[in-house]
Amino acid sequence: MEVDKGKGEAEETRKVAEADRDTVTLKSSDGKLFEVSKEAAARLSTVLAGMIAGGSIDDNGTDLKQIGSEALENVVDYCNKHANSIPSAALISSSISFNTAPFKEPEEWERKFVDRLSHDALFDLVEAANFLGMERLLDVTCHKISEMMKGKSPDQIREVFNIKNDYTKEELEEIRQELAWAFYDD
Amino acid sequence: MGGLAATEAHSWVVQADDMIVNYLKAVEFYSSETGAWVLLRESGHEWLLFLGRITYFNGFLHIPIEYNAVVSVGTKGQPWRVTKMQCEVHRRDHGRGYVGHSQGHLLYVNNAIKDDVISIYVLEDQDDEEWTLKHNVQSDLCFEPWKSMFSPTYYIAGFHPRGDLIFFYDRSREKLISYDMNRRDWHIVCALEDFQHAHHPFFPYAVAIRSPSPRFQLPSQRADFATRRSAHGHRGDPGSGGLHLPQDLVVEILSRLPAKSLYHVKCVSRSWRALISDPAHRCRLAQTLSGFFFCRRHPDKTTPPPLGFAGLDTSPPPLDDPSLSFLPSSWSKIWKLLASCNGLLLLRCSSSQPSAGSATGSSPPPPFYVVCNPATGEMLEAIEIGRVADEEFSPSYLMDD
Repeated sequence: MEVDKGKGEAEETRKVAEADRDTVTLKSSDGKLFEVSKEAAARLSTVLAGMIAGGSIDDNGTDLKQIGSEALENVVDYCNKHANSIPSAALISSSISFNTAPFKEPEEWERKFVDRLSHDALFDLVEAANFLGMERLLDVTCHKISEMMKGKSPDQIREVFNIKNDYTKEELEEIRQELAWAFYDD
Repeated sequence: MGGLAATEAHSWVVQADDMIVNYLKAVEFYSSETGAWVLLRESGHEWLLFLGRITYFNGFLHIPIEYNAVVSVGTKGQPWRVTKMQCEVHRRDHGRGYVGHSQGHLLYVNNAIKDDVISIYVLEDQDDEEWTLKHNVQSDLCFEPWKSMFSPTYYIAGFHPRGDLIFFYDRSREKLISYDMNRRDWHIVCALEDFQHAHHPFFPYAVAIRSPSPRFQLPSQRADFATRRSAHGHRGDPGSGGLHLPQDLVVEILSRLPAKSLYHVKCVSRSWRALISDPAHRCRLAQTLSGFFFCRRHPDKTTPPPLGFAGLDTSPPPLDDPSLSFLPSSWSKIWKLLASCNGLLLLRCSSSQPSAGSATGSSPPPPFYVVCNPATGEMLEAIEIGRVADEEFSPSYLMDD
């Protein structure tokens, strides 16, 4: 009896520990598992926060069928690096009427984080951030891509993003004319 | 007396107070952050003849005064400062000074009526004492000479925020035209046949969505991601061109680009151009200047004139409805446009005019200011009018950085 009772208590303790676990396990579309701090996940992702609050987190790996392993690895990496950052409330509270863009410039580590990614990895990460409702990560990745267009000529933009020019010469001239007077070249 | 508004990250409403005839002695500020009015008095003993259009730039209100000078009033209570143009002063010229800003500099336009010359001055540094002459143009090359007319033959509509362009309204030809200071050439933007003369006839406007976009919904509202995603197009969708992302994310990226880069992106491919031109997306993208609101001619002199809009881009129009029909219908004919800035408009709603509904017994609201966004139809702020406000004369400017 004594032993059994002790066993029951141990079981109880284990269950409590399970519920109090400070990480969540996420599963990519190709079945790979990643662990991320529960606190960071809840703080940085509105979707994960909702799942944690709603108890729909699977200890054996919460299925994220829309996110590939490379993108999920980057998401988890980002969450871990973001450990000492500002609370999500400050990021989300952008409802003041006269607020200009609530976006804050990427920090040094965020810049480095997106700079090392290939184009495809970056695009995958934008989609993952959008899917998970990670406002800050979406901001940082979109900012990075917009930086790749800023100050570039149409030819240069086509080259960076590997886009075919499907305009005829006449059409292009027409577009240039359309706003020529408003579009001032330095 | 005048009422004017300026907004920063939070909103400011300012009223010119305590004026003897048109001499400016004090300015009253309202900040939406504190919800209170603050009075700023002129500390010296200068007689500042208030001449109309005010602009807000770098924390100061800049107001043209007589003798080709500008008084700058700091929003933090700094002493008022008067700066002068380096030019011969013609007494007759006052009343036509126009102050504005473009590309990070304050600009002043002086129309020398006597010589039919338009002079543009620049204050390179806010601490400079004097303005320097930037450009001179013979106005009679384009407009009818003033000497043969009793009233102005043209109006200044505004500066382009990103280029050395000034917009004018040519009264004899009834056209909005632009003047390029570097190329020294004129372009006709559009015809405005129903333009109505007013003290401040033109309000530069650029479409802007000010409140947070609904892209971050609660998790419960966005469970059906797959549906949402297919609705916005998949990877390789022609709408996203070579940038392999769903359309809404491409727009998210483009929304971070300045107007100039957007023009370049427009030239990249047909699909990108279509994406940028789509009215559903355009309101999220940067535009430095979409066009000008102006007062339209109308026979009824007892009510404020209806609004018209002169767009700079050809198609599609930046606003579905420039008549601000989202305002409560009981307000019809009692509001007046005072100022515009960064996609927001400042209106003054006055109780002194009979409202359309007065016959049925509903009384118009007491006078107040309203800040609204015509692109989204939102009314963002209603502000009680400060100590003094004049019905007739309300030069104003709305600004944020």
